Amino acid sequence: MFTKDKNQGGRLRMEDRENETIIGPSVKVEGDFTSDGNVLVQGLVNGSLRTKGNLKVEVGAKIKASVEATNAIIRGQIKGNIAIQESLEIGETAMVEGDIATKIISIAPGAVINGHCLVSPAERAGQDSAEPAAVQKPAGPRERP
Amino acid sequence: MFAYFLDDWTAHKRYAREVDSLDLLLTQHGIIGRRLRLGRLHDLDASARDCAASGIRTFVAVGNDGTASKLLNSLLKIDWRPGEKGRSLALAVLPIGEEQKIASCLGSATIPEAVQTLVGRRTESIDVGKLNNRHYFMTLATFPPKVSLGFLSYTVNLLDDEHQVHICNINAFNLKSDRRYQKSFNPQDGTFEAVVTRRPLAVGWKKLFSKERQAGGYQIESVFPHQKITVLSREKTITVVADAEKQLTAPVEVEIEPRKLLVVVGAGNNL
Repeated sequence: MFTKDKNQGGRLRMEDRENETIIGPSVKVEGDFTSDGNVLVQGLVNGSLRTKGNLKVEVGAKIKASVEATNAIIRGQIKGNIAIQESLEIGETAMVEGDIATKIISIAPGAVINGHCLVSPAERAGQDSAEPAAVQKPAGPRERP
Repeated sequence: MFAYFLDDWTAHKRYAREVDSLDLLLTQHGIIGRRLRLGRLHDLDASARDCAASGIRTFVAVGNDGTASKLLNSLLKIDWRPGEKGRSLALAVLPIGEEQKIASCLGSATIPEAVQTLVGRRTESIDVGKLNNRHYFMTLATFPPKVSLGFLSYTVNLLDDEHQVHICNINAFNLKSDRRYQKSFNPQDGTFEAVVTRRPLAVGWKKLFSKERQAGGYQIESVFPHQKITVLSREKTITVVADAEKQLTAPVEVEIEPRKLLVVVGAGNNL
């Protein structure tokens, strides 16, 4: 689903032909959406969205749900926590309100993100999906007795 | 050995030439078999059982999509499974008249093609759809606007009344050339696709030459591969086009039975 595009300087690109579920601009999905394959979102989703495959959220898509996927490209709006097991690409038109947990992240200039962001190379990204990402406070000077 | 089930309306003089040419081709290829005419009072289930008991393995529906659908249900009532030794009853279609979506998908769009398909007798097992406990090929079960789809844990509502819902397990939209849908519409994967389509309004010359019109006039917007769907409606009954037009009571339960049917396919099949 993801290939490196030579023309775009080696950026990740999703191939349209391998989409299995397409949530088009004319539909609204309500409830816990689960899928084993790749998902392309162009419409509205309320509830939760989980897939074992890859996720692509197009411009104009509005998701009010917690999102889980293996890889993802986000160019639409998401209100909810995002847990991506491998790589996450946030495009310049994306608006994310929620915490992000992933292994690899790339954020384009112009993207709007309101929330915590945890990028860890270990498997923790998938495990921490249910909980909001922890923010590590900078270590201050210790108080001396 | 073959059994030919001719629909009652094929006796009309309008189809006489097609039936004659079919007879001639069958004789030339030496594949003549038992002929049965499906009259209104004809017990199709009993005839199918008799044919299976007498050793006939290929059941040929001579007519349109409706004829094939009738024969499909009678065949599936006989207790058999494809692939079992000595129990491989196959269904074929010989097209006469209009509405030939099933024949086209099986690579038997014309009478000569269909006869060649029968001679080759290459079989494939395909999934069969079930709407309210009756079997359909479901190449194109079309639901009217103002319906919503209920899946196991979520529902899909249409935001626009202009859109239509189709449930299909065969590529009836003639979209094989479109790379985006190459993985969808596989009649052997154990799932069917619920498809939301839009018919773009074409004005003037676009009416005749637009690409959408050539592809059946439908533009696919959403695709949901699944095994069980409930179609909900505000109306008590829904008019559904599934193999042929019929009225079903809402909600309509749609299921898929994987690899339930053995069909005879030709070289130009769309599976």
